[in-house]
Amino acid sequence: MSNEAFETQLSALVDGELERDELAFLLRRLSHDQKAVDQLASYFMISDALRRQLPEVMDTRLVERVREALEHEPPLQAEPALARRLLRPLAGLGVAASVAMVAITYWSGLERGDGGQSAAGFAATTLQQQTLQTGPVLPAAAPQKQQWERLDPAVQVRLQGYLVNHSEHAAGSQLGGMLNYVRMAGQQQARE
Amino acid sequence: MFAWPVSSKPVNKRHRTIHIGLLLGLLGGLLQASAAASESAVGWLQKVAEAARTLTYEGVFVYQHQGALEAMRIYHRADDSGVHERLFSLTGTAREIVRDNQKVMCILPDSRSVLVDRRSANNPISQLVPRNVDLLAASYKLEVVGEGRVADRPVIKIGIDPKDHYRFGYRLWIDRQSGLLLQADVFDGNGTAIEQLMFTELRVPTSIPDDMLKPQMPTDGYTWYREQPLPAPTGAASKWKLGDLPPGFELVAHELRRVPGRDGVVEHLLFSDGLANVSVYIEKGELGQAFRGHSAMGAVRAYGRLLDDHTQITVVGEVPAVTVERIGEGIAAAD
Repeated sequence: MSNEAFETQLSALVDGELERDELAFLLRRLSHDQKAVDQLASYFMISDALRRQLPEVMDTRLVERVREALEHEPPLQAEPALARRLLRPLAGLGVAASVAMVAITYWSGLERGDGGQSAAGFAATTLQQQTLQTGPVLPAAAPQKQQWERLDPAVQVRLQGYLVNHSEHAAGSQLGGMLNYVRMAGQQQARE
Repeated sequence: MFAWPVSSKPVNKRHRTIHIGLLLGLLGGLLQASAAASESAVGWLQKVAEAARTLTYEGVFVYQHQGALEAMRIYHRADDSGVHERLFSLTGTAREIVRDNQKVMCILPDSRSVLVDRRSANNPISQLVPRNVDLLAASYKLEVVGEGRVADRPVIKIGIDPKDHYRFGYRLWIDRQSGLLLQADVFDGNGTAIEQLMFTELRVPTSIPDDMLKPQMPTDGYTWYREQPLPAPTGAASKWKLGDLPPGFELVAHELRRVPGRDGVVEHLLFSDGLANVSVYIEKGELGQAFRGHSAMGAVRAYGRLLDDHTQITVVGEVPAVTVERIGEGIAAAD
């Protein structure tokens, strides 16, 4: 299953719109796939962030609690409604995961620039056209680059030190300081 | 190509009197332009900088880059004791960054490390006014392009379009009431959004308790990388010279620094086009693992090359890869 298809299934799971056979398959995977559980928890969190429903105090054991609950729940007996009951109280986040998926699709569409055919893709395309209509036409060629998080750990530490230093000494500019720290906090470990 | 003198002081400190005079004149000129100026794109950029320096706020935002979407929370307090800030990720890898008047601390659990660097003593005026408005106008087209709502607050939208392929473009959504930057999109030369940040929730309380501004993540067993004190300046001439810089970029600072995670002294050159910044770090000695080629983190691009077996050049900046490469390739040993 492609990553995109899996993300779609996760979204449908949280919305309770997954078919019974798909649900059994997905819950089975969630019971042993830590990254999938992490991803599911992130969807809840991002969705609530977008809906401004995050609690003041976050449950830092959210992922663990979701996993523990899944471990004790026989996947084949799960119903869509059960999945909702199972996941939502644990997350402490009343959400519609489709909101998170729309946001992800929306922004991913922007990044890919493919426009997509979905409503979210259409929205992304429209926004892109609107926001960039005054932008210059520029050369597309760019050197091959390796994502930061896939570099040798020693090199990563070196670059992080440089970025912290750069952020501080370039902070007189309007945008650099905070954004650079957001980049550091938002950097993820290499994805498989 | 040209060589420049080594100093442990930044260029802009040596010309502080001149710069302050120019900036005051510029500020005065901008103020005299009254309401029209305050509504201009440059005026709104000034408001963003001032808001970051003077306002207390807390909020949640989402950050998109490289196809990933992360949620983060920020606490930012500005009062008589200065600016204190705590930023941490709510999703994905747990990371926390805490800044106060003296230092910045980055807690990075995935590498089990803590980076601590000294805060820069910025000239307060330089934070109020874009570094060089003429330089900015030469490289970008700035304009107010619309209005909207972000985090349920009315915003003004600013467009910053580059005039060549050596810098990125920006769309900024600025809170009309407070001047806070609530959404920022960064675009590459193809018009593709490479990075986006958007507040979903924002509060502007009168204060934030100290406890909310202290690091919360455990750091037991972590490796700490702290900036070490600098040696006394030598006054020796620089051993390096610059090639042709990308249009619009100027050398604004040149210092010897200690960088967290590195043992030796590093030469740091800071370039700016009035908005984007590029740092060059030249490091000599036992290098360990070398960094060659290109890398990226969000809109930050890095380029590394070895000048010889003992000299690493690393270029870092929120600019396209061609810019960091051109600057990095231009560094050469002085004759």
